[in-house]
Amino acid sequence: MTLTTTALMASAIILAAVGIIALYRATVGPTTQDRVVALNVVGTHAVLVIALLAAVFETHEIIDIAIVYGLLNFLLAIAIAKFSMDRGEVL
Amino acid sequence: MSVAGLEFALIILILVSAVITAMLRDTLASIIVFGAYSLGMAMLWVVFRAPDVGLTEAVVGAGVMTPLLLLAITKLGREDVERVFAKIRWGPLLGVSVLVVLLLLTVPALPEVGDPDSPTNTHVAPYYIENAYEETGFVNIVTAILVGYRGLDTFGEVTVVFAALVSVLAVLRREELI
Amino acid sequence: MKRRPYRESVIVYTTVRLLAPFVLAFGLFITLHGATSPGGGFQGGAIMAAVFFMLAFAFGFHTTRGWMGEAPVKWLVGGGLALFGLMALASLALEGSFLDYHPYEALTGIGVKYWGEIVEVAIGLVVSGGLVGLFFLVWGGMDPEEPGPGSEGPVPEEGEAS
Repeated sequence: MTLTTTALMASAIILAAVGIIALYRATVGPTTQDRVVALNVVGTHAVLVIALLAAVFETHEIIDIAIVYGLLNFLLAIAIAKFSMDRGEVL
Repeated sequence: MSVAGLEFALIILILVSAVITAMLRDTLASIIVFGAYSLGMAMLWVVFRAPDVGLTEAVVGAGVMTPLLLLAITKLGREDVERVFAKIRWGPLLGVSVLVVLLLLTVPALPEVGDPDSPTNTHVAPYYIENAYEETGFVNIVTAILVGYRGLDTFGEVTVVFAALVSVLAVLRREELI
Repeated sequence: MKRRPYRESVIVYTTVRLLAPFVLAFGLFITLHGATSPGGGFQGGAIMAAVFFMLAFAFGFHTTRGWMGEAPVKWLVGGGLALFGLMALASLALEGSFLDYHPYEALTGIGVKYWGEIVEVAIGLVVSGGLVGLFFLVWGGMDPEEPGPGSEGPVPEEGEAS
């Protein structure tokens, strides 16, 4: 491994570890909004880790997965945000 | 070596989120943490160089499963809970732990990942790897196997999707989708 | 805490309107490009179904249902399965075996790869239609008369039919 790939891999490991810390907020977060933001943090880190892995493995096809997450994280956020709002219904 | 470090971090993320998903009392919070679990799984599949599986996990976990689960809890209702975690019931936990230990004992008997002499890598896989491009022209060997060599299985899978929709309609005793 | 009545966010539906065409295009790319990059009919079909979910969450279920209607779901699922079955059976008529694409290549000169892509498109149709249909059914629930969540839907001021 060259110095560059080692550095990229180290950043990927740090991002994955920070994702574990974000899980704490997703677990105890008193309101649903805290949890949605925590999930978005993990989702953004997933995009970054996958893009970094594409650079480390030198396989550009993996970028497709990062794009899918970039697009669908938004869906995830609005879906949960919508259902957590008070609408005079069960939820 | 650092690939192993990333695998370690991701497996911790997956295990922690799986346990939290099972233990949370609030269903909405449980679904949110389940989303984090699926994100971790997708990253792990990419580390294992299985981009097709990673893409499926990304799409199904983030795009399909969470909206369907959210819709399901609007129908089930969501009670206000005062405590974050559910009470642990020790009897079932003991039973599950014994089962997990028994299953973990069989792990050393499995062939190593990427072992060229393992049964999965010695029968049909070499034929696919050597001939898939010449015979089908597919650069992505997963697709070549999916719609080419194992096309009959894929036909069955698609029929299952069709049958799922039809059977839900039958169970709900409805003839209209809407 | 004082509770306000729910009002749809302008940001959400503007962003969905901007984003939806790109997600749909990416789903088509994944479906049609399965031969050379990761992906294929299952993944692409699920992304295309996610576009529908996005619209339903942003604009409300009944508005989206009004745009789409029920017929497209039935045609997607039934037509996709019929296309797959036709691709499988037609090679028998051309003296090939079941699901063999080589007779088509011999007949038309178009490579096996492109006939496999037709099958991928068929899979994508069934999966996208099936997921949208399940979404309809879960939202409708056991009782079709009961209005689902979001039944009132947002009322965008202008350009709703675009």
